[in-house]
Amino acid sequence: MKKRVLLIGGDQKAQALATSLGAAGYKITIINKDHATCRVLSELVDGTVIHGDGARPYVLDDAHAHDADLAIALTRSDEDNLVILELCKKMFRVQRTVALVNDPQLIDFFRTMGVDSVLSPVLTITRLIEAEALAENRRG
Amino acid sequence: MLGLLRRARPARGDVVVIGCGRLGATLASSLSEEGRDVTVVDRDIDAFRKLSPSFGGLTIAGSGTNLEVLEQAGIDARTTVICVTDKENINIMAAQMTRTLFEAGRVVARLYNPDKAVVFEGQDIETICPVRLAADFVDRVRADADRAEGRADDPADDRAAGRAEARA
Repeated sequence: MKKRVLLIGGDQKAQALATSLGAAGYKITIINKDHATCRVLSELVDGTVIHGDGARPYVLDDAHAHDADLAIALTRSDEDNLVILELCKKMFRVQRTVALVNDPQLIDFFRTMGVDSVLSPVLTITRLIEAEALAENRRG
Repeated sequence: MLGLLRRARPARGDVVVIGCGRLGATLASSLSEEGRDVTVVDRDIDAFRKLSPSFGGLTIAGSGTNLEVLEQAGIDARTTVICVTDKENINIMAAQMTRTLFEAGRVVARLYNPDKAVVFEGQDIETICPVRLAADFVDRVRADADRAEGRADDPADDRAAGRAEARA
């Protein structure tokens, strides 16, 4: 059976992820608070798009969160991402949860709260740039 | 401003109120008037104008889910933390941070949606829910009305009658 992924929030990130996960054979459901973004996503993405606040239990229920194998929270708010994934885990028993976190200091706390993978765009990009810069130095 | 506060010694407040809205400001003001050591946290510095003129506690301008801000608030096992910002998810996260990272003595969070309390599973965090409080109040009013209609001799209504007497 196809693995089901729930993507909550994030416009361009959700679109890019949905495209690549879709190509990898996942069944995609997207939840987004913004109606205009939902319309764009529903045209571009092969999957279900739901307009609503992913931090509300009834919206997650509409999105069949209980059937999802993986939930990824991509909103701009760390608080929203945490609550969304805690609901996915504790109310809908989603196996695996992934969060983006804006404040890198919160990475450990998110893990303590049961989020399986915590990614900080700031930290990741900083590391990549540093690696590039160092490689540049070595070359020069 | 924040730098100056950061250098200051952490206040050993026995109550930390996160969110200086109407409820937060009212609570903080009355606790301070009772002589408690109160610290109020809000990201908007203008929010502190809602505190009563006699408020004698500390104010910290910053986010209630920021580690440095919470450190500055000096939360420990003797502290009661009350999370009452207007954003329920901020209340949830601030409550969980103060509970698990700072081991606050008592933690209370306001939820607008009572269903969300599942996220506090096994964490010993208390919740206040305006919807539930209002619903309970309406139930009580209805029980009182039933009693006034003379249905009080119905044994099922004994509890409601007792409650009404206790209030009188």
